[in-house]
Amino acid sequence: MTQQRLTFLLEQVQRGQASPSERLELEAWYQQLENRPAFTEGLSSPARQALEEKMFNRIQQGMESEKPVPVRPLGRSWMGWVAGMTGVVALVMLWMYLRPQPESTPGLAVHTQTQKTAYGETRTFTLPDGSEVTLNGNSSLSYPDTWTKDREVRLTGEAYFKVVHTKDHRRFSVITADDFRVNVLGTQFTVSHRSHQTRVVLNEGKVQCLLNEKAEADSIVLKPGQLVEFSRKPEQYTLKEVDASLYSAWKDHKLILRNTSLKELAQVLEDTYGYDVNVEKASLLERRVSGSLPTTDVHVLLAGIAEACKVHIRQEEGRIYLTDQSR
Amino acid sequence: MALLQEGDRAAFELLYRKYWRRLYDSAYKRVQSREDCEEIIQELFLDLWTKRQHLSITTSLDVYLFTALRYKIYNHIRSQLTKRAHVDYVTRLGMPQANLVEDQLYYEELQHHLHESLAQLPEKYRRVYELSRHQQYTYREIAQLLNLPIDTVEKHMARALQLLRLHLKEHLFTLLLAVDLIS
Repeated sequence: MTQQRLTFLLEQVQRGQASPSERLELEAWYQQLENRPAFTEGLSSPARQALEEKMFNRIQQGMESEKPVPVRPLGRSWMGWVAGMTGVVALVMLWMYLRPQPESTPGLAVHTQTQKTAYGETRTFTLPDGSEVTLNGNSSLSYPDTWTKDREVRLTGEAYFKVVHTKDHRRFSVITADDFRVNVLGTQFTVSHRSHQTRVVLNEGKVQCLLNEKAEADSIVLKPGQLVEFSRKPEQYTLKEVDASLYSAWKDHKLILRNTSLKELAQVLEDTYGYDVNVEKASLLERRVSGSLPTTDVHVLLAGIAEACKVHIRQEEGRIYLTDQSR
Repeated sequence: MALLQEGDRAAFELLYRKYWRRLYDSAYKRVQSREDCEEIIQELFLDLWTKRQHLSITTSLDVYLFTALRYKIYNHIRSQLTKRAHVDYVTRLGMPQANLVEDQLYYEELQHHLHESLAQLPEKYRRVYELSRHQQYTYREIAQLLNLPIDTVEKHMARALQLLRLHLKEHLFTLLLAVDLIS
């Protein structure tokens, strides 16, 4: 059979337009190849086993990432959600290719720098290694003047990282207050650790997450555009495909909403802007909106939310009261 | 089959173990590339798993799997042909030995590294791994044999696999590097 004929037949089948005789012709071609040597016959039995295991392990990995993910219990008393993270559990992200860490000499006395943002403020700065960080409102990041070995920073709140890759492949770790760690060599991602949940969104690169529960470990591979979050126990994580830029839009002074509930918006107002949000009735929180709001001026932001969600916003010092507009 | 539909992983594994070789051989005869074959077989089984609840197999499982495979291969060849029109697929098929030996060598090499990695595993993990994978014991049997709780056996096995995966990943990476240097 010629290549053109084969291409034609395959396309006919693909389009669902193949006539019975065309189908038969293709099947006959397929069948005639059955006489070729069987690949695995030529393998030694350990090699065959290696192939069997290799594929099976991959399949199992695939099954893990497709398993239905537990739904985050955001529902109950969201406003009172100040539950601290319990347990010391580490979710460790490793760069795909784990390479040996270079030996390093013990460091001299180093000074720790801390950058802290007020409510509603965002700030971009460069770390000693050239990596760039943007802090969202009500967040802080601590790091030493210089790094002698692995690069480690401590984060509370939310930050966007643009990590540079060093020649000697030094690991970069973000540690949040609950001992959750993100380790990478060079990539772009957002880490958020707020009172109600911890979240990592990967914009660029590829990382493997090891959900480390003491000795036994479970692992997930994060690809660009994937999000991992959990509220208390890292093992009850949620993994989903998202538009990663939505989660880092704040660094460009925008809040992008895609069918976002007022409940989620209220959470942002509490975490990033430090308001105590009160609603007239819980059903208001179910309202959903899409669009883009500027975050440069919090009053404009509030007005935008009021407009989009059809609510009245009354502000009293640090408190916000939401009431239905249609009333 | 009914067990599979309930989401029984052991039943799924049994199916894989029973069919992988015949399916792989069948794919290799038409595709002539180990990477592509691996991908096709992995996809086939993942599909089977994800669609398990919606499957209604009217014929035998045998026929179902091989038909599904045939369509996967059709799709694969078609995309190859359209993607890279210059690749003379049909001519390549005429020389079945071209990749075969190289691909077989790859698995011998892989096996060699697996063996090495296995030797580096802590004793307790290696024992469980070998009983399960080389002597085909079930987890329950291993638990009785080693006098361990069954969930410990499962955890050891998971850990063993994870360590092996890491070792092999490093190995594959060096292989890739080597290729980069040569080319």
